[in-house]
Amino acid sequence: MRRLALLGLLILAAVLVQTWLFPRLLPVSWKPDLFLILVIYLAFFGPFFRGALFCFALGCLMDAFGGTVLGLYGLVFTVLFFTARVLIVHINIETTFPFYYMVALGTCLELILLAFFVIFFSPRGGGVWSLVTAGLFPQTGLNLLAAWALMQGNLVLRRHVGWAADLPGPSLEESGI
Amino acid sequence: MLDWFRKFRKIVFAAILLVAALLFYSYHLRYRDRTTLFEKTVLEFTAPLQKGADYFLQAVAGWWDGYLWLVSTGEENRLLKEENRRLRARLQELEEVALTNERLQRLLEFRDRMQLSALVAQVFAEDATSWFRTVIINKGSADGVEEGMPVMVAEGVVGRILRVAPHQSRVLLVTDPSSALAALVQKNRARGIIRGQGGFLTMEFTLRQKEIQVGDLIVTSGGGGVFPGGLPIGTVVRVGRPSYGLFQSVTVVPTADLFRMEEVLVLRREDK
Repeated sequence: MRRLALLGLLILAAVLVQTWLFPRLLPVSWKPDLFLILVIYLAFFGPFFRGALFCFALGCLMDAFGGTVLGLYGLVFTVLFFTARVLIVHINIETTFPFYYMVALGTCLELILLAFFVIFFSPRGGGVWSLVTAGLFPQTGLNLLAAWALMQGNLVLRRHVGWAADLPGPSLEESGI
Repeated sequence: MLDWFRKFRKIVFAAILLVAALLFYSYHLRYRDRTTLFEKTVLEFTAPLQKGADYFLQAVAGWWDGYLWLVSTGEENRLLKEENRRLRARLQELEEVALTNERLQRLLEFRDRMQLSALVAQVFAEDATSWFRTVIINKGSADGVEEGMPVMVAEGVVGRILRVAPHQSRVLLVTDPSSALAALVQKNRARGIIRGQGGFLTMEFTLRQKEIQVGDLIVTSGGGGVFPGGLPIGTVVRVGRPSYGLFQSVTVVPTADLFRMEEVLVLRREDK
């Protein structure tokens, strides 16, 4: 129950930061995709069945907060979750490096999936490809920066704050905090 | 059978969820111009939070300023500094009011000039993604806003209403990749379709024999049934004529500053 409440708070904070704070702070239209980072986090450290359903719901929420057709991000995040789950089976997720690697890979995959579903399913989606190709590198960089900050926050919270000790994440010993 | 299901339950679950997600998306794609109950609910419930966050930030900034001021000044200067600060704050407030008045005045003058009935709305949040260009305004169906209504500022076209909740609406900006509107070059009436490319626009299907130059103004043609004719969209910044083909490629920058909008006009449908 406490984990669920924490997750709810986290999502609410991500929504506020992404729709209200980032547009005021950042001078460009690119902003870190906190929802994508949450999806990768769930794929790494969350349960399989509930995690997948949660990612789909998270995507639908993203659709409602973006100007997209309901279900687009739901589908993209679900595919991302399963892809990440398949890829992380054979790697050591006790350290933080694979997480950052997957965030970068997830960003590229997200853009490819978005472009695919928008262009092939919508008659008016042609322009999204140029936007996606132009934004690939800045978006990946911003996502990596945000992922690093969030992961450091996760490690520090688990180490020093009692109620956050049972938050899922990489090994504290391996991470050197 | 049960053993097989247990063994492959994760794969079966993943396949079912992916197909369900794809069907869910396809279903909503058919009704993309309608606002779903889910979207209405999300807009309605989160708008107060976003507005509250704005208020909270201002309050925190004020408290922080006050705290710094308290620890750094002596009691003797307190009254004078307080008065000074109050006057400065008042001056800033008045400057802000003057700027807002100026912007609203421009919007009203524009509305009178166009002889259109319009609704002034405030922009308070932006799109959550980096790939789509939408903003949220504080007027909704309760104020008479409907899907498809054009949105403007005094400088030019902003976009059209995409989703409507009772007290908030989402505006699809002209720079969004899915946005397209019929347009023409003001000086020679060459026609084309303006498409969003994220930060800029392109004018497509403009015949190559039409003379278009950098700096030309692009306006709405009135075709398509959303925007009235003659509204400024943007100015030409690049013209490319390939050695073959029917059309030329024209790059356009919006006349309206879509990055820093505070108030917009929603044009009412009955006046089209």
